[in-house]
Amino acid sequence: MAHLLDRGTPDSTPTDALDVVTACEVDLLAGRVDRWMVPGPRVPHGVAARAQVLAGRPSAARALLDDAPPVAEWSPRALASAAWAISRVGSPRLAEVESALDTAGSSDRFLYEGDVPLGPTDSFLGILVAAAGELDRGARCLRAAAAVADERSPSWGAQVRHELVRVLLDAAVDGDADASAERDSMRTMARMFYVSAGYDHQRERLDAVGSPDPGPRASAGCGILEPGPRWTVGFGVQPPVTVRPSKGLLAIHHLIRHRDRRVPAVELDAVVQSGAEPGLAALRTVIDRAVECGGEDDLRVLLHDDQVRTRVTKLVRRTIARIGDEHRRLGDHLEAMVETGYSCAYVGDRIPWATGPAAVDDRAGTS
Amino acid sequence: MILHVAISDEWDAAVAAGGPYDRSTIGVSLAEEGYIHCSFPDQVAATAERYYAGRDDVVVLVIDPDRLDAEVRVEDLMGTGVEFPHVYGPIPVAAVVAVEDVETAARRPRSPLG
Repeated sequence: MAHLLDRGTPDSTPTDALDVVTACEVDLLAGRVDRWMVPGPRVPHGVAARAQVLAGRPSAARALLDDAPPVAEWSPRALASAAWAISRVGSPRLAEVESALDTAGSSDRFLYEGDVPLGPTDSFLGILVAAAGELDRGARCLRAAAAVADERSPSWGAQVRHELVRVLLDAAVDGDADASAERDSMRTMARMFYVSAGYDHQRERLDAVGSPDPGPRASAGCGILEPGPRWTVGFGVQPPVTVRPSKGLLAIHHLIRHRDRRVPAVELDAVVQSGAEPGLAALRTVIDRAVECGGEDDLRVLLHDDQVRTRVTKLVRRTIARIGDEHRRLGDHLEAMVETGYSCAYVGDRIPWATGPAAVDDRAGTS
Repeated sequence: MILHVAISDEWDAAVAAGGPYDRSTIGVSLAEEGYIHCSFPDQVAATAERYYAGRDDVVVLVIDPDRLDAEVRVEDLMGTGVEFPHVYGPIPVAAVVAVEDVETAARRPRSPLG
């Protein structure tokens, strides 16, 4: 027998008279978060974390995930909601939750709390795997989940495709044309259902996927490289992490900021040696002096300094490898999109980036 | 003393009605939850930051447990290893001995209940 969640129109369904699990799922699908933000007997930590993410409070969500009891004690709805929250804000508990989900599904590959359906097990696994930076595997899980979802009802199919759109958007950013076509098809199918069935909140969320407008933080297809006492770095569906400042980060930050041109290695060297943008002023002085004293030949020598080229290339490549250790998606993306040599460039020209305030603090580059 | 982070309008409404106060936590009634979420002074800042950040309509009710009819239990209901005080019934307005901001309430000494 079909459950309310198989056919419901969450935005217009009153939840006061529903059982707590169904009420919670319906409310969160409709973006009504107020009753579900604080953990208690009705609200497991994972559910509260999901509500906090929906409320735009990623730090609170992460703290709730950190504080939650051992994963082995979590209910299926706590696991499902935590998986969704982790896919948006990240958590050191990702692997634990993935492992628990792997064995939590029923024989029809659906996850239930009592008799309340929560979604195809593979959809939760898929978003977690993608959040760990494994796009291909994540997409495979979500495609499998879509097949399971379609057998049950169109509402589940739309929700799974919604998640698949995020993952495929990231894959398309890497230049995968097939991913672009599949993403567009998935988006159309999910959107048609949301519009026809009155899932207004979900439709708005789907429309925001890949939109540079709301800000690229933790968004599919967008990057983040923000300076600070610890830098915030991230890319696409894998949530951002923080890393300690370094000269290499300054160099990559400079490349992304100046993606409209190729940046001479000597310019990057000046930026990282001075620790910030003021290095450019020093570089301009050097170039001006070279032109004044010897003209173009001296300038050519300056721009083709092998020692500088080698130093900058090693710095940038080593930094990208380190970033990849902390954030697989960003590492992979930068590996593909950053060119090094006598001149360097970031060539991902259509990708929105959050790079922080205009001037980088001098203290940022310390190692 | 134990503390409860409240939305000022909800507290004002309880006072205007002559009490009691029966909200459990943000968006949730006592009837739904079964108890009212409270904190000790050393916990209240983190509670407010986690669940009420960004709101400018938050007050902290300072509750004298001796003036409550309801039972107060200090317990770790969620299995997180941290105990919080919970009030298992409505809070009479007269049991609230002060209404403070979070910073002030957080400086209070911890209740013997803890």
